[in-house]
Amino acid sequence: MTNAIDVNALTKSFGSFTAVHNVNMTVKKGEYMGLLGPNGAGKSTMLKVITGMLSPTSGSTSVNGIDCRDHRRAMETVGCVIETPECYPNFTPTEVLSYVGKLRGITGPGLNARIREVLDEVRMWEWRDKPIGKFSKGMKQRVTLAQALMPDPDILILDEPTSGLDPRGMVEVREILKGLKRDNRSLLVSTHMLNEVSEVCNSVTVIRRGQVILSDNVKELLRKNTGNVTLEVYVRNSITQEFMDALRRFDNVVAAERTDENSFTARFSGNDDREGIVELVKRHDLKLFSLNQKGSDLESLYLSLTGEEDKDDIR
Amino acid sequence: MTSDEAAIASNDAAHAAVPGRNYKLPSDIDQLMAVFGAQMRLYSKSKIVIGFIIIALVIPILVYSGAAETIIKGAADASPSPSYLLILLPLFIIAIPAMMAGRILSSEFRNRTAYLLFTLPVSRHIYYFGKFLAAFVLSAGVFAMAYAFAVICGSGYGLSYPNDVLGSFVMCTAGVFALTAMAYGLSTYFKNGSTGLVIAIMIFLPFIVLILKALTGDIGFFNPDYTGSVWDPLMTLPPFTGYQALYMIDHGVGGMFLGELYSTFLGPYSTVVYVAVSMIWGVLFLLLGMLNVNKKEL
Repeated sequence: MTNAIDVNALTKSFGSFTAVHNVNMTVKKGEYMGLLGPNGAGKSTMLKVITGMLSPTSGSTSVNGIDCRDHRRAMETVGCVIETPECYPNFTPTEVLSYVGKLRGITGPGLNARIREVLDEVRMWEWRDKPIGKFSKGMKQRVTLAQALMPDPDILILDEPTSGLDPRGMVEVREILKGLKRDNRSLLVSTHMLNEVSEVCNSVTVIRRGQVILSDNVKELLRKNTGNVTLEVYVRNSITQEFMDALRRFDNVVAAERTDENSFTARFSGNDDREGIVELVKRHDLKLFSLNQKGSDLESLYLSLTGEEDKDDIR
Repeated sequence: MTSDEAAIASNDAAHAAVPGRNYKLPSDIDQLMAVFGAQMRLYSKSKIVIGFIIIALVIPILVYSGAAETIIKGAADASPSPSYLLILLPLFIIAIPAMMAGRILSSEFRNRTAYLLFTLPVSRHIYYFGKFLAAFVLSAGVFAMAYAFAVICGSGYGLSYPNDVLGSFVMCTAGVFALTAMAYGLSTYFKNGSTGLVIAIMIFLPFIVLILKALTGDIGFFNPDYTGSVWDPLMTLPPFTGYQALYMIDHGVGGMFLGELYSTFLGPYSTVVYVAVSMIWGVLFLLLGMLNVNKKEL
């Protein structure tokens, strides 16, 4: 069965710098996949290779079984928004969508009807005849999303669709994306926003320094990794090095960091032992002030996979 | 809906399932015309372009009305000439194509509109040639209208055009093609486009030729025995087509000082040679730009 997107042993280098190294990834038909990773991980580079803006150094990418080097055929059923593109500021949304529609073979009365549909979908119909140059960033983002939706694509590829938006704009775009789900539509969205993945996607691939480190169904991932918990603790007295040494020797603690004089975090590989932590704090006379679980299970997992190794807190 | 529950459908079945959702990619020609149309629409919204067109068209009218006549005529006893009305042709044939074509592509990359266009199912060469076509058609159209205005205004002088106005226009159009292609092709190599560079080269080139000819004593109005120059082949290059085109309307170029200067840049060859050189020049620069666009990474 043909997958929506296949990435096979993809490597992309810029001179001596390798942005993406030997990446394999698959997006099945009907799957909503989040491509998650910190800034500079290689997410945008991967999407640019898939959509023909960059050519691979080695390896291949295909869409609906069509090699992406056959750009015209591969992109026929794909709508994409890569790296916050701009529309012509003197054009109106109607003019931009009309242009894109003609390039995609949508003509005649069907073109006007389709323009109306997509502008309604992205909630921009009342701005259809205003010049795009006068729009806010969020409005421009919705117009670029509208152009991606013009051909009613089977595959949507979006590169950080909420980047640079205010919280309201982010919520609006996420609601639009959730509203686009249908049986045979696939989505690949790159983001470093965890709640985007958990709200919109049903699978996630985590990429770091150009390599895939994890790929799984979101629910399955969370089920397997329950217990990757980070506790954030505030105490009234100053934390001593002796206490930190004792904490790091604690059962199941994989990392501990003193964040300031009166607070620390402790990350557990299995279930957290809150009672044990409270007891340890009491034994060292630190006087517990508060104890909270830091971030969601997904956030803890993400940090453990992508961020913690870069910090200086490993025992 | 999870991926386990998703129904898997082929593209055709997916499109067939939704009535009317059967968009087939148009042909290359249709896509080319869509790009052409969009670029013309962009031009129509550009104040600079509109301003330039108006200036180019107004000049024959200004001359006809006498407003510019005393400046351009020069010698007091010079008789009026049809070529007066297109007297700035050699300069405009450089400036207008450079303005129209020198920044189209560079601005697409600089303003990130290329990030939208290059992910669409359209070949890069379609974009490239579609936009070039718009620049060339608009530039040639400006000159076509300038010629038309000159003929209409010239009839007010009671002038006839004894020589080859149509041939002159063909020569001019060949030059416009070559210089539009040069500005366009070169613009793919420069972040801010090639307008300034092209205008600078094309203005300095006649000066260089003037100096070369002066060194070899080949300037006609200084040398009464002038019969030709070793530098004549240079006169077939596109920047000199404007002078040749004017000469074709009026061989003396009106007998005025500017006309005498212009005659320095005339060559002894037939129209076919000039047109062929311009076409080859234009095609080469177009291909040069196309190579760069094809390998460009965004």
